[in-house]
This record gives sequence, C-alpha cells and structure tokens, in this order.
Amino acid sequence: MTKPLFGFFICLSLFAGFQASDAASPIEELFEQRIRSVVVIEFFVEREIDRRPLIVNGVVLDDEGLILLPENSVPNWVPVNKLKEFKAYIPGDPEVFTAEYLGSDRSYGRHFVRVEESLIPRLVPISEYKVGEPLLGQAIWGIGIAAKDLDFMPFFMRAEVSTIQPLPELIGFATYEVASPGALVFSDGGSMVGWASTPLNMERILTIEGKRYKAYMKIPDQTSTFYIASEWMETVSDPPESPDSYDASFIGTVGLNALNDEVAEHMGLADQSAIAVSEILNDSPAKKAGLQERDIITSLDGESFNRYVPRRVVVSYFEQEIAKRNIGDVLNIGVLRNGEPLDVEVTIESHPKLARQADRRYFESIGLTIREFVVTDRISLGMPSNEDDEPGVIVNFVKTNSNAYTAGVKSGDLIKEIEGEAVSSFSQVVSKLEEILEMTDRKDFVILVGRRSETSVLRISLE
Amino acid sequence: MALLRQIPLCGAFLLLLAGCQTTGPGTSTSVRNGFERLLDSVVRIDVRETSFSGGTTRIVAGVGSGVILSEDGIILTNAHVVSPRAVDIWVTLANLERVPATLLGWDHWTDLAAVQLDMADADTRGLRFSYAAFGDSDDLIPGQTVFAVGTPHGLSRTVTKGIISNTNRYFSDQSGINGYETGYFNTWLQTDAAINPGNSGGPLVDEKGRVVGINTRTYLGAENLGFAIPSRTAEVVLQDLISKGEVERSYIGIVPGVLQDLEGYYALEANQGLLVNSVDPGSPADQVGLRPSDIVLSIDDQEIDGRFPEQIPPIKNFIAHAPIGSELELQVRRNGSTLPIVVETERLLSRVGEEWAFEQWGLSVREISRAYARENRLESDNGVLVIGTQSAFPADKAGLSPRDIISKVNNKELKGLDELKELYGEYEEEPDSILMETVRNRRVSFKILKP
Repeated sequence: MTKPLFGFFICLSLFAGFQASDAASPIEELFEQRIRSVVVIEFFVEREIDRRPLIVNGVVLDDEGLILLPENSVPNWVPVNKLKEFKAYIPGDPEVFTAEYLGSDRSYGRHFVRVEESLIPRLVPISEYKVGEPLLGQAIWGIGIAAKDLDFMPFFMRAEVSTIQPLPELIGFATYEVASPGALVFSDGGSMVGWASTPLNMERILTIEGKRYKAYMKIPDQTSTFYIASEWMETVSDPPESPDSYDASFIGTVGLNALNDEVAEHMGLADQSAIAVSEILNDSPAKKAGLQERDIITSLDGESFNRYVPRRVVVSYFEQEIAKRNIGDVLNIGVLRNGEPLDVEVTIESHPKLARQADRRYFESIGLTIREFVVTDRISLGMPSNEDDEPGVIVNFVKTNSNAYTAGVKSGDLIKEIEGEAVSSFSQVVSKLEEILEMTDRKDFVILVGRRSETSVLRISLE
Repeated sequence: MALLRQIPLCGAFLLLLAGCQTTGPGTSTSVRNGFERLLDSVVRIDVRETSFSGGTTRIVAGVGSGVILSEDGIILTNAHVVSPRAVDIWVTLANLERVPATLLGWDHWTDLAAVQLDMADADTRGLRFSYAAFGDSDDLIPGQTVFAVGTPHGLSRTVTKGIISNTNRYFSDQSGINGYETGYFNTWLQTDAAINPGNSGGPLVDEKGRVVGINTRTYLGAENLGFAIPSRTAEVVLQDLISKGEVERSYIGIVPGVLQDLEGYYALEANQGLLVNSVDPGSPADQVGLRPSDIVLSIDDQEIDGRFPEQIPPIKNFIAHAPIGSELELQVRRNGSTLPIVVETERLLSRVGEEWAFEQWGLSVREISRAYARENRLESDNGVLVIGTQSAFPADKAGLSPRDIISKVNNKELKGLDELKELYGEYEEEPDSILMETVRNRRVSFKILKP
C-alpha cells in the first residue's frame, strides 16, 4: 500500500496547529487515546523470485494483542506459507514489534494477527469504547496514518456523514476522506461510529491541453467510507483454529447476475431483487439439490430479496448470507423456473480447495511453478462447469527468460500432457517432471498445454 | 504483431488530384512501353459500403487502388478495399474518366477481390484503357527493383520505387479484415517501396511493368516495411473469383505449429513433418482422432515439410485445395510409430457470420458461425452475437452490449439471424416488449427490449 507525501503535508499542517494551541483540546485528548487502538502491520508476500512488501492498518480487538485487518488487506491468492515476517508498529513510533498471522474468518474474509506481548500494554482494545450510531450530517472524525518513512505518524481527519447505505452491510459515506483504511472513525463525543473501509473510485474529468479525459481517481491511503460500527462489531468473530484452515460455506452456483427492473417486472417480481444463475458446478450442493442453470433465485428461507440500490448488491447479499451460515445448514432457496415458482433445499457444504491452498511446486532449473487444479480454475479459465474430471495442472508462474519461458509456457496455461502422456493429478505431474529433470542425458522434453480453446505443443530445453 | 495493419482506406476528403506526370524507369523502348501500359491500367477505386456497426445501417466511404487485368475490364484489388457490402463502386481510369463497377468476387482469406467495369457504360462513352499482365512472383529475387503504384492518401497515380526485401515473408495476423481471417494460405512479398494508406489493392510491379504482387499491408510506425500478395497466389484466386465469385476451400481442423527444434525430439527424418499444435473441437480431424503433438508426415503421399513458419501457409493451402468432402490420407507419427489416418474434409468457414442491423432496436448483430462457436467453446452455433448498439435505443437501454450472445427470445431458443429477422418483422408491425436471454463469458443475464 503506498502512502504518498500528500499525507505528509496534511500531517505537517495539523501538527503546526497542535503546537500553536496552548492546552490540549478535548478532541486532542480523545485522539491521543484513540490512536492506541490502531496498529500498522507490515509483511511480505514471498514469490518465486522476489518479495513484495505490504503495509496495512488494523484495529485492536482484545487485551491479548489480537488485531483485526480488513478483508482485502492480505491477497487471497497467496498461500499462507508465503506470507512472511509480520511486524507491528504503533502509529508515530519507529519501534518494530513482531506479530503472527492467525488466518482469516470464514464469513467475511477479514484477517487476524497477534502482536508480541511487550506491545500489548500500549494498546487499547476497541471494546473500551462506546459504540455510537452516526446520523446524517453529523460531524465525525477519524485517524489517518502516514507513510512508513514518516513513522506511520497518526493524523486527525474530519468530515460529516453524507449517507448510510446497505451494500448489503451498512456503509457510511462521509463528505470527505475521514480516515485511513483499516483505522477508526469516531463522533465528537468519542463514541466509535465506524471502521474505515476501502477508498472509493471517484470519477473525474481531466482536461489536458483542451482534451477531456474521463478518469477514476482514489487516494489509496485515505477513505470516505466506513462500516457502521454497531453492525460491524456484531460480525467480528474469533480467529480460525489455524492460519490455513478454511471452512467457508459453499453451494456451487456460478455467475450470479441481478435481474434489472424491467426483467424483474416482466417476471412478476416488481418490488424485489432477484438473481439469475448462469451455471451450477458439478457435484456441488446446488446440483444435488436440483438447482438448475438459468433458475431465477427470488428468496432465501422464505424471505423475498429486498430491492437494493444498486440492484447488483443482491448478489453480495445472497453470497454473504451463505457465507454466514454453517456447514450442514439447510437453505431454502425460492426459485422461478420457466415462470413456475418452486423451493429448493440446499445443504451447505465446506468450500472446495482454493487456488491459494492448492499444492504447488517451483522447478527452479526450468523456471516454472505448477499448481494443482482447483474447482475455481474452471470458472476463471472459462471451462464448462458441469464436468468433473481433473483436466491437468495449472502453470502458476514462469520466470522471465527461463527455459520454460523461452519454450513459450505462459502463466495460466493448463498442462494436459507431458511427453505425450495425459496427466491429471498434481502428484503425477510432479513425479513425471522430477524424473525428467533428474536425467542427465536429456536435452529437452515436450509438454502439451491448453490455452483458451487451443492447445500448444511446447518443447522445454534442459540445456 | 499489433502494429501490423492492413493499409487503412483513405478518407475521401484527402482527395488531392495532382497532375499525373509519370516516367517509366527503364531506358529501352520495350521496357518503357510495358511500364507505361501498366501505369495506364492502374485505377483509383472509390467505394461506398454498408456498415452494420453501432446499431444502425450506415454508409461508409473509402478509397483504394486496383489494377485492370483484362480487356473486359476485370480489376484486381484488396478484399479490404471492396467487400460484398459495397453499395457503389466507382473506378477512375488513368485518363481521369470515372466508370461504375460491380463486385465479381471476394476472398478475405487472401485479402483479394475482383471487380468489373461497367463495360456497356465504357463502350457507350467510347472509353479506352489498357490492362496489365501478371509476372511470376516465384522468379523474384531479394534486391530486385520493384515499383508500387496506387493512390496513397488519395494521391492518385503515385509510383514509388524499392526493392524486394523478402520473397517469402510469414506473419500471423490476429486482427484480420474487420474480424475476417486473413493471411492463412499465403506468404507475402516484402518490399521497401513506400506503401501508404490508399495503396491498398494497387500492383507491385517489376521493371517491365508486370504485376508481381498486390500491395496490401504495412507496418504502422515502421519505415519501408510493405507487404504484397504474390502474383502466384493472386492469379489462382482471381480465376476462382471470376468463375465462382468466391474461393471454396477445404478444412480439416488442425492448427499447425512449427516443428523447428522438435525434429530431434521426435526422431524424424530430415526435412519432413508438420506438428499438430491443436485440433479444433468437433472438427473432422477431431472426429477421426487426430491429436495435438501428432506429426503429419505426408498427405495423400505428398511429403510435408513444416519446420519453419513460412512453410506453414503452403501446407494449409494444399489442404484447402482438396475438394470439399474428399478424403485425405495422412501418415501420422505418434509415439514412435507411423499410422495412416483418413480424414474427410469439410468446407472452410469464416468465424465472421452474416451481419445485420435492426434499426428500430438500435442493434447490430452477427450470425454465429461454426468456426466462432468452436473458437469460443460455445455449446452450439445457435444464437446471434451482438456487435454494436446505438445509444438510447431500445437495445442499449435494455443493457445489450457487444460480445453478448442472444441465446433466447421470449423464452424460446434463438436459432440464428433469420429467426431474429422474423421476430423483428413482427415487432415492426406491432411493437411490444421482448425478453432476451444473453450469455457472455458463460454468464447468463436477461434483458427486456421495450418499444
């Protein structure tokens, strides 16, 4: 996450202000105390040939050093063992503390970190604060965090509540940027009203030498949106048993699209939102329950969907409702099939392996990482989702100018054959490649990869 | 190869008719005569054609070049200059007389088209023109002097001079002619004679004024990298265009790769074999069990040598020239042994189907061809593809956008364009809301077209 100098200027001007005043204002006192609930976490994503640093803000959940990070703060495609060297900082203090990654929660994908014990006395858990309901037009303030070279200096930000919308979780929008993502938002009285969310893309028109350009801009380290504290606090769960454990709910519907108003009205669903299902994964709970492609989902557990603004929010709502349920729970899904209403009972199962959990192996001598094929690859590669064989392994990484690269192997390719022999399972490919790479007299070998609708025969040199 | 473009047609506003002073290159009279005769056979072609893009039927205009090749006024030009969508074609002769012309035939695969002057009109007006003769592109050698003649940027009758830079250039072309595939069956003559937009369809000639190629494309942003279709290819295609209006080709569904560097691996005899890189699903080759990584050694006892990229187009052309529905016997090397595989050819189809615009809907569509369906892994070639919408018209308001496939209309499977035309006819008589089901990247959504 970049922290531009912009933040620095705001800081300087604010600090100048602080110095000019004679005594601490009530807000300043609150600020000094509230920043003790925000921690900056730094870690690396280790890749085949490099490491990428990431810096995110989190909040203190308890008095044992448990920190909550936003759902998008840790890239979800990275295997947990590639997340390295978690460190914690107190805003405004260069001292480095160690931290440990604990994993993400099954419903919202937020991440947990625990900081070292020596840091705990300097932190204040958010449970110490009164939770307030922000009102339209109300003045709110939040904590901004500057860049690393400024020691993550905390700074004060202020705005007013512009609107509050269910998307589907309640999101507050402020009139200006009011906090750094992952930091906190308060009322003037000191009640906690929100947890700062991701910055919005703001549409702007740029005029350069008389030419107009449409541009989307956002300040990456400041945001005007925040989760409403009262609702958010209720959804904060405990960290998972282990960092890699993942038992998210799964039903196997693919390509969910909200119906637009005209279509909904045409189908007799005038006052509500509804969802079209594009595909159903084979062997999934939805398939077993008899849900079909092109069914229109209209209700969940007997309750028709609300009409959300924008309409597509209904898809997030549906997905989130599934995510909140437990494995084994039965969902009663109301659908419209060829105009006829019917109910389908779907039993939630545990989510199949994700790409980041898939087995993978880097073959350094040829510069190639292969990864086990997972169900979601079917969707990302645009393959029919109603097949259930394992069609090969995925090329996850190709090192530039390596032998694999020169041969024309590309990241995302599906390896279907090695040396003319069809391969499907990951272990089969690994042992085959190991065998080939161990041979000292081999000059080259040949793989068959699938790429879009075509295949390619590629010769990988071993010289 | 993103920069490789067919020479764009030149906008009519660029028309700057300069005086046409021309001097032949040679010194001897016969050479001079031949070249002057050639100059008199090069024409400027102004075309207005229908465009179905953007949800409406429009007329677009362009300028290109061409060369008259017979006394009955048959002109060879590029497929991207004149297409079957041409509404009117006007040819400006060397003597600055304008004559209407009609399209005889069109072949986007080689980017060639044939048009014929309205001879009745020419005769009535007593117009005269000369016609050029083909030279043999196979006799060209790199370094040999050649001339490009045409209408670059609307500058009629421009001659530029250069040499043959390469006689056998291969490049793959993803962009094609408005999506139509091109360049599969021929290699190209490369020249450094200046070729600019508007040169398209004009001849590349030798010093004696014989047509050795048809100037077709250039590298945008590069200097003096021009490409022409060799006369060997052009002569054959022209005959088909004159007699049948099209070139029928056979298709078996293998996508060749180059064997280069793999010969040792497959233990092949020297200079033999074509690597099967991919097999189109559902194609004849697929049906008889040809597989990627098979090596085709021979076709109907003809040995095949596909080691280098420039050797691939002639092989494709060889397959294409087998009669449609005939059986080809392939000797195939697989896992060290050789086996014969017989494959029955089917007719080669373009990925681009017929296009149409439904004006009241503001919707442009294209028929889904079998080739498009295979390429995009569609379950069938049913439905039609959206290629454009006009803003604030019913299709746009309903949320239809290019690359959507309309799969159902009013809960009924849509077979193809003809069915949609029928439905549009009903709509015109009695406008009513229409429910459309669309699929895009395997995602289904529903849209309502409202009058």
